[in-house]
Amino acid sequence: MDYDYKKEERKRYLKYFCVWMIIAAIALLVFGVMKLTHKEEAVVKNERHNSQAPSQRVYDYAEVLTSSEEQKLEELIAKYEAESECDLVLVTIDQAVGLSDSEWTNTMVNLADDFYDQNAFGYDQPHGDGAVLVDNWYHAGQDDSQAGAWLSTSGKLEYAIGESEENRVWDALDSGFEISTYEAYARAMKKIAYYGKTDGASEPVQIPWAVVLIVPAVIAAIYAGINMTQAPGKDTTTSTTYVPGGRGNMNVQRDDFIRKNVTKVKIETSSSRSGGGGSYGHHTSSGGFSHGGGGHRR
Amino acid sequence: MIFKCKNCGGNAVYSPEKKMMVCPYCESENSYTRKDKETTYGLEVCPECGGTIPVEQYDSAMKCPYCDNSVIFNERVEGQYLPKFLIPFELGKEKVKEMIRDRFKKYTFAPADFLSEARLDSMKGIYVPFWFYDYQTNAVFEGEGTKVRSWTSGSYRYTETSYYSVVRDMNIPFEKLPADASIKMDDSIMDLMEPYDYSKLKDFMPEYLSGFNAEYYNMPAEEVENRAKQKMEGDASAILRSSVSGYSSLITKNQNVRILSRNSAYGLMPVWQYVYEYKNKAYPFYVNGETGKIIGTVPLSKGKVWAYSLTLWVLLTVIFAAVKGILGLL
Repeated sequence: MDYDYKKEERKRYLKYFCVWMIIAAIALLVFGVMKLTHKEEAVVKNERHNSQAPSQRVYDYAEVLTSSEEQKLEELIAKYEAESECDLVLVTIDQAVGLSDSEWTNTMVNLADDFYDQNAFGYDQPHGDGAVLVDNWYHAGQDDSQAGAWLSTSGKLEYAIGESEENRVWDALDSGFEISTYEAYARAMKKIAYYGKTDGASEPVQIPWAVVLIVPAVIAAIYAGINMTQAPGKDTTTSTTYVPGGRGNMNVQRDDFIRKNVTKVKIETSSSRSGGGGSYGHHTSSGGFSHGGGGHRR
Repeated sequence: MIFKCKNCGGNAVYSPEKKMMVCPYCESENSYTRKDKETTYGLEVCPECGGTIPVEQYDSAMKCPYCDNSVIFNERVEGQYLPKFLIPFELGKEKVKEMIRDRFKKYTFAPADFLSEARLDSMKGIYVPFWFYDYQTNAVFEGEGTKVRSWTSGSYRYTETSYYSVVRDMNIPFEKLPADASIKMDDSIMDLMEPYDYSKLKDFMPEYLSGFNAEYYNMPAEEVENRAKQKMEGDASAILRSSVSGYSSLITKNQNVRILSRNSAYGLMPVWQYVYEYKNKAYPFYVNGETGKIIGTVPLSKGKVWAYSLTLWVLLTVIFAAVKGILGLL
């Protein structure tokens, strides 16, 4: 008798997990086959072909970085450049470019495009692949702030960085500013370099190991929890179960108005002028070169 | 008393399926005679075989362990112990077994023999004594409600709060609020058995008890009334409050439920009881013998919980890791 139950239990167990086991087996099989047939694609590194452009990448005209930070950024950018095969230039300025959005945008576009053109930046060739990030600090934090960044992209980056990628760059910049100016630029450059490296391809789905280890444990714990708790039953009576007809007889029902009071509050109008700039799209600079990019005021 | 089949002399019992007295031996329907005890022996003596029945203090009907006849103790269903009404069993044993199987078969972690025929067959049908209370009540609510309205004009936002005096005075009748009068039965479990469908109420006849176990009330009406009263007060308050609506806030200043008149009656309600023993612990299940509502918790086999959860964990981890690997190679 006892033996029969054990056998039945084993059958039940196998049946219960049958589908899961098949899925796991298929997943392992697919992974195994892929692993065997997968060849490491040889990454061909292209050399830089541009002798015209200067070697300096960080132009801190606004003097918002210390010299050691500049040095660190130069090193970081050198590394990102090699990975992304793009020239990555950072310019900080502190100059009036116009308060209205259209004025601001026009001036920033020209500043950025011209800086890139005149210095003949480009990784593959002069005026080739790369981007310049111009960050203006004019009256930053004041009511008439003209502060904000402009990203001018060229060559392959012009097409790799669209509006949504641009917004990721601004997100990186903003999140960095919460820590330090240096961190902001480092993060923005890393993002730009990333799009250069992947040619704007969407980010591959990577499941972190933490997820692989923790999520199944959590699911199993919830599963155990759900299966271990049970209520003996639900109360299925309501307040009117034992009231014939389901309702009482109202003798008095009064809702008398007593008084009222009115309060008024001034509506605070938001005076911040964020969000100026936006994506600017493809255009040709005064130097006759094609650029993309957009701005982000703060 | 016992009920005997006129045709074969077997023990006629009440059949929930056929809703009449049936002889399980010759299948005669509604053909029986009542045999009362002929001697003046104590009630623990079986009127059929003379064997000593292990009667407990409140038992009013049970099976003789020697001759298996269903014995009803006259003294305990008559006079002061005469139930005013009862609801006869609507669901027979086979039907209830099926319902229990249906309900619990998805419980993966129940012990293997939990739903076995041998175990389920030990199920007993019991008429549980209940006191039923009728109340005529007057419920009064007094409070202050507010209504809030807001609008914008120019660069200002206006908020207007209006205050209302709210009064409700209603008479709420309650009929047959049940409270079980059995010490053996857990109060909270019996509360969960509710509600019963009172349209099935019948005047008491001892025939309904034949084939089942029964108790008479273990305590007088006054002793268990508090439970019914509490429920009544809670329900009356809820009804009162639900008659107030449309306010954004409501403060209670006075709320009172007064009992204008009360009445109590003694009745029997049908309950199937299945006690499952697992690792020296009893797991009782109760099934409302009229509506089929099932109350009870399934014992858990800890070993099974562990085995299943760990298996799930391992399988999921393998699947996740494999998917991670595959995505990494794409």
